Amino acid sequence: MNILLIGNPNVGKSAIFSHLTGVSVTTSNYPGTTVQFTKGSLTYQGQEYEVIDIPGTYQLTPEAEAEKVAASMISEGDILVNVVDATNLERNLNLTLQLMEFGKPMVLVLNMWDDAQHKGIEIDQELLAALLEIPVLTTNGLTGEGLNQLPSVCLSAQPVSVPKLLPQQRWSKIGSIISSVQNLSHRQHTFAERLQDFSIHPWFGPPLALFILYWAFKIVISSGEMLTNFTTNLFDRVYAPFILALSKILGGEGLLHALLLGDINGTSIDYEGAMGVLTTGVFVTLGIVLPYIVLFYLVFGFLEDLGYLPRVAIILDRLLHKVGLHGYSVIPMFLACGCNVPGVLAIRNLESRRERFITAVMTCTTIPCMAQTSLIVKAVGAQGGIFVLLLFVTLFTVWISMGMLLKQLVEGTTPTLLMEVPPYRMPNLTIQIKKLWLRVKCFLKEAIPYVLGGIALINLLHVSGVISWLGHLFSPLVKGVFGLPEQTVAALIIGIVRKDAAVALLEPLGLAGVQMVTAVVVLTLYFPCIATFTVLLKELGLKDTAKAVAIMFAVTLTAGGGLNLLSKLYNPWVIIAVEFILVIILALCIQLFFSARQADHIDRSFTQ
Amino acid sequence: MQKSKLPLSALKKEETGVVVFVQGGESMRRRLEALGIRLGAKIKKKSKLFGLGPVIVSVGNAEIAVGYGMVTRIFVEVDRK
Repeated sequence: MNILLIGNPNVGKSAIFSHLTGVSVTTSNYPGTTVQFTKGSLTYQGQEYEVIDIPGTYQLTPEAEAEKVAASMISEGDILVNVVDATNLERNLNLTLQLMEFGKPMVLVLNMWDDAQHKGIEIDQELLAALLEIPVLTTNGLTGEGLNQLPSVCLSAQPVSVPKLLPQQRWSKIGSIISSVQNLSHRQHTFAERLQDFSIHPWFGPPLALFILYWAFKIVISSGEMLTNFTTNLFDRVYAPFILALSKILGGEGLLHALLLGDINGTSIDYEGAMGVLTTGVFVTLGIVLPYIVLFYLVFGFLEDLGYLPRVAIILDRLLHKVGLHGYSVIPMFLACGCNVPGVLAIRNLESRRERFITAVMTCTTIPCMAQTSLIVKAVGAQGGIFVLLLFVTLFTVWISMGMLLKQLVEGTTPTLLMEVPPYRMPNLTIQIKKLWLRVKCFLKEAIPYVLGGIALINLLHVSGVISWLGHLFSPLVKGVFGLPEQTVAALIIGIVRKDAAVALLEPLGLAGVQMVTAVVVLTLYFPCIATFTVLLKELGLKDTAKAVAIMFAVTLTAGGGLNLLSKLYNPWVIIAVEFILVIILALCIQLFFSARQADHIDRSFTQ
Repeated sequence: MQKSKLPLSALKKEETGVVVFVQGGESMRRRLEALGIRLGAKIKKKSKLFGLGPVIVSVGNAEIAVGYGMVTRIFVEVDRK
């Protein structure tokens, strides 16, 4: 027996889901699609019920994939629970009436009941139940108020039978229901609402967004440093004796020793440089990356549930249109700042193939993950803050230049932004923790096996001498085009497994200023880490991934070579200025060459 | 007082109008309808970001960001002196 939770986005469905179900929550894909749903279980009077949280949807037309999936899941469901935002009853009823046509037992949950009362919205609950002929409950999802009755009401619900309506008839029925059950009274604007207007204000919104995002990253990086210091200590004290003992058992040398433990001597362990599966592999994933992932998604989840992220999407919509995307692509790109793997996974939610391709390529080429960012700030920052600025300006230059070109070259359309601006709501701690756990679990499952496998592979290549051979092979390129020493090749190859470990390997090479920036830029751009590459392959398919890789190599050659040429200018400020000028020149060139095609694109996006 | 038909983009800030015409395909109309932007709905322009940025409108109790591509294709009737 299963219970489905269905409703519009932002109605507090996941809060209700979280209250009903226990800890064993799983996210899975609907067979044959990329649409994800969350599943949990509810025990009521000794019976266990499966509770499924269907992705939020406004309607059930068979056009969008997510809506198609929702519709087919609903027809397999036993009991439908339609969660409705009581402050937006009219619009929500559109989905309610569509759901009733499935003829299943159904319960209507008027969520955010408190909010509605504060906003001066009165709804006659009993009359609504009588008009719709289904049970109606009022709840407050965040506090869990009113949810105790939900299981018993669900189980006693009877199948509904209503005739199928045309959209026109549906809206007129909604109109008549609303006019008899809802009563609005006037009231003052609340503080939260003023803040809401302020954060998407054309003048104040963008600086506020910069301020918030800057501090979000600052907090993650500095608390990440503390946390990784702690984990490093822990590894030194607890894990090192075990590894050293194992090293003795293995005799201190040999293939197995090199593979598992890597390059360690009898007394101390350089976890980042040893390159063994059990040393670097375990340490980097659990000791460095995991703390940053946890912290990043803690902050990200907070901003998400607060309702701030959609506002960032709205503020950046205009900028993203310049690169062939719209505001919503901010979400995968932002997620990728934590770890590229969930970032690339999130491109599924984008509507068109063009958007998905552009977002995926831009994300895994130019966006460093959190662990990498923190090591970059440390390694490049040691040369002076201006070089950190130069690095991120360069990455942004690459990001926007690449996007402007991809916009012209990738066929297809980008739909117009159309999204609800949810009101600010205080995030709930339990839900936050559950969400964080789901995300961390995804990282552990998707990323760790590839990192460990990758390290083992690189170790084999190292032992068999392939790496030094590759070093010689690529040294003309690395020396001649990028102006970097031959040893960087080894770091670049390790970058395929973990970019952060590779940044750490660049440190002892003694690169100066701009050279260090060039090395990190090349390392970031040239290829995604193995875990990201695997998801990319899964999401885009073989052909598009091949295209993406070709683009990455071209971009790396241009950016790395260009930066090497610019390094002759010595002053990093001058380089930054030149980069800005180059972007403007590129934009003008594109305008000149592609203006005819652009007009055609806009036309097509209108007919969407 | 005189009624005039304008695209959403020509509405002033805080001005309220009634949706009278949506120029676009079936799928675009459905997307807008599901968010409450349908013929006869009262719509208020809250603010607008720079240039061709999205416009924020309020419909019922919800606020919706509408990308510029759609803003010029939603027509509303307003009372103007």
